[in-house]
Amino acid sequence: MVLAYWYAGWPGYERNKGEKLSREPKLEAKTPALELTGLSKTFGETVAADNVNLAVPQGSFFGLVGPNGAGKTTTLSMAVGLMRPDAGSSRIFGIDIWTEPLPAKALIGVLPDGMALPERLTGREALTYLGLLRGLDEDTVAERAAELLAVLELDDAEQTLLVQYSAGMRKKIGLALALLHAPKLLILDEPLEAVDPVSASTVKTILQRFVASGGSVIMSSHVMPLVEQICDRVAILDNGRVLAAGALDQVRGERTLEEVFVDRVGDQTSGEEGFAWLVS
Amino acid sequence: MVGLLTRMNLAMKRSPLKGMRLFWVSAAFILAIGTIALVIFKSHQPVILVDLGTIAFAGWTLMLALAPVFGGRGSEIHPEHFVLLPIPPRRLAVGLLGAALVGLVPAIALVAFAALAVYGFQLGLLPGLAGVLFAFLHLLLGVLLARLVYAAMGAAMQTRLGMEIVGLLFALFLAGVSVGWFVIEPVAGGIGLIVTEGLPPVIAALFRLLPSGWGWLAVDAVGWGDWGLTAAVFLGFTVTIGSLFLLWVSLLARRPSLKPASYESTDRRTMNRVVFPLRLPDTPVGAVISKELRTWRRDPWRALNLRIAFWTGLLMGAIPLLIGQVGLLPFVGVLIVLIGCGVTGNLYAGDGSAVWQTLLTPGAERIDVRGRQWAWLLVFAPVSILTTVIFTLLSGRHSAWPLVLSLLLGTLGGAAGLAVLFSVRFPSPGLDPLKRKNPMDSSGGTLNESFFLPWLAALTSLPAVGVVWMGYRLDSPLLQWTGPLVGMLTGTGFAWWLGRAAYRRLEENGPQLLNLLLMGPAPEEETGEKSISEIAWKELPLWKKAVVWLCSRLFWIPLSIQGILPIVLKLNGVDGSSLPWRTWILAFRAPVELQWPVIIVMIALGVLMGVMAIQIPRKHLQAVKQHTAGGSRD
Repeated sequence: MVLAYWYAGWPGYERNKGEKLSREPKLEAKTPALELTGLSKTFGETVAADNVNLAVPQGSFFGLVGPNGAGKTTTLSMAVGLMRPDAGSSRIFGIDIWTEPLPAKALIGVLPDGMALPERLTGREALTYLGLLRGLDEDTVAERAAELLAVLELDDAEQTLLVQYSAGMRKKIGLALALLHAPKLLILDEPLEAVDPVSASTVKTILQRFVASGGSVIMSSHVMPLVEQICDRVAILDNGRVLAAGALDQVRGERTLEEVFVDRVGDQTSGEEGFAWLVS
Repeated sequence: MVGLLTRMNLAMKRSPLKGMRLFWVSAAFILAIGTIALVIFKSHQPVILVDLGTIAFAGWTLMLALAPVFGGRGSEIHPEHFVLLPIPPRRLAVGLLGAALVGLVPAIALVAFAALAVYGFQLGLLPGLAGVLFAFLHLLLGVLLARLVYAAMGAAMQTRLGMEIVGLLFALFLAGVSVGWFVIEPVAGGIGLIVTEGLPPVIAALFRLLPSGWGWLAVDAVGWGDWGLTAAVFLGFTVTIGSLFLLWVSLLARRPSLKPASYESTDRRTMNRVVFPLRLPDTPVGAVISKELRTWRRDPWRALNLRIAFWTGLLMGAIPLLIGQVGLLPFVGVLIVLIGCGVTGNLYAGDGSAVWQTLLTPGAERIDVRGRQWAWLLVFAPVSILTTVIFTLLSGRHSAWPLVLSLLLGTLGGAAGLAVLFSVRFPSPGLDPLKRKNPMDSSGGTLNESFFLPWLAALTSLPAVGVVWMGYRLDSPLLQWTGPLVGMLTGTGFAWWLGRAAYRRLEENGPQLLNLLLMGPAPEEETGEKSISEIAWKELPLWKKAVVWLCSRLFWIPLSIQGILPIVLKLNGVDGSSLPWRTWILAFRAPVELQWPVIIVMIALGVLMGVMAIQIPRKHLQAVKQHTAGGSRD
């Protein structure tokens, strides 16, 4: 028993382990917050990511757009280390996520799409759990959790388990969990899907403040006006390939992003043909 | 409708027949053939044949009825898939039932039920045809029971009381099949006696009167020309199947509950009780422990498994009391630990894709595994220690203390290690938490862990038990009481070592695990994830592959058949040399004084083969990793 205490560390031994893990990132402005090089992934016959190269400069708000099944989620999963790429690398502030996962993961906050949470905890319990797991002390966790729950208007649902949350509430608690440890880079998969307009506005403001204070964000979305409204850089992904990437104005030129998107992604039906049986 | 749903079901269930699935399917198939063989080889003793036949059919009906519970049915069609379609429940039920009749499990069960037809044709053409008809009716009954049990368990688990009842019933079943024999044996006589002399009249009548025995009754009735009895049995079958069907339809027609079940009253979740009442320290491991303890309390599937472990252990000690046997009472606590290990070997799959957070938190894999182990111990240790103390005192078997304590301390640690290692190494995903409509969807098949883990956990206490046994042998109290100490040491060692194996696996294969849990019980190939170990395996030289293949396929033969089985027999005072199949067991072919050494050598061989099966690929894997790490730096 004693041995196990010593090794497994009955709580106490592990304290502040999280701090030891952080390595000073290369925060010189020229190092991208996120750099994907030649990322590729194939599932059977399907190519989900085909030599994806992307760089998210520090302090930018980066939008990753693409039709359903374009490979956005696959790309982001590989970028954060939740899926092993067949080829290529992902660097967070110059640190490779696969060869040096610990310092790299300490720098990012992630909101994945459609993944489970500790479902049997309430929002506050989940935040406390994750905060302590990340090595924050109890007071800091309590303080940050209270603030996040209040700002995201989740404090009314104090006794609701995550499994009982609505889709919008799940997005908000997911964002709170991603923000909790004050990351330098946020990686968000469809952060505003199913979120009501009032909360969406709150979330957008939070994210814009995060960027204004030097943070970097990459988010995927298929809502073009949203991307145009808040992102300063954008990449269009289709069939696992980057079709265009750069500053927003550069990519869209004189047109709207939606027009450029439909034009680039192309060869899909417009919805004008067929359906005689439905409209008659 | 039936045809459509059948095709849909077969398409959804399409998964490769290999690994453990192949093992279970082959085992069931051999049993099915055995049932037919029984009818053929016992044809000269028709009464005994029917006695044995009714017992076998009772077993098959139970197996069919519980197949979805143990085998999981995440990847099959569910009634919930059709909630939005305008199909009346009764029509849907006919379709679902029809679809459920086509598949591997029903096919194997039909082979077993065909024994009835074989028996019938031994009597004549008409009884044979009746046998064919009733074989199909038995299949229908079993499949219908299976759907009903699954639906009823899911419906019952929406409430706390229902969950408690399901837990108790399940435990009754598990305890019944494991120790019920103790109670039946003094009445019925040993297995040998039943095979040669048949069942005593009362029990024989009981097995014939159970629905599982009706087919035999009917075939016999046709043979005797008793058409009244035949018609009565047929009517009984029809009415039973009809009422079970209507019962199932009424369960299907219930509106699915919108709120997932949670048994804790919400007022317990207040703001100021964020840190669990035990006042766990505010550290990473403490955080995992409190998350786990809350989940044990709030998650219906885990709460159910906790009940099953507790009640099964208790009932296994209590059932033999019916015939005045107190021998198992002191072991109730140990049994709770063993069953507890068996029902908790799928922790990660139960939590589904939530593991992504562990993977994204730097260094959290080890903390998560260790926290889960501590929580496991906090859940199971108090109850098992308390029951051990109470029931050992009650049994009055004071000489059993050293043995019981050695077993308890040894298995507690071993089980806490095995549960997490199995959860990481052999996850059996059900549906991801958000897709579950029924708490029963939380896990895929539970057959592997519930079958193997209790035995493996028991094995971890072997050193301690060995010491106590020597103590009893040499009549040395000192040695006897060294047992618990050894148990504590080996328990700690196993918990540490197996836990380490678990978190290393999680660190190495986390993304693969996540992918598997996200996909749910999908065919392996389709997840498309290749782990480093698979890559390493491909590059392993052919002779090493052959050694690993042989060791991993055959290690259980010296370990169990040549090792544990003779130990169990010898400890129970069975004289191995009188067994008809003793030639298969090396130890019993050896002179008496060499039997124990042979057993020890066999166990050592089994363990060695097991270690080789694990270590050879692991060594190679390390080499591959170093190579790739070196390569990427260049």
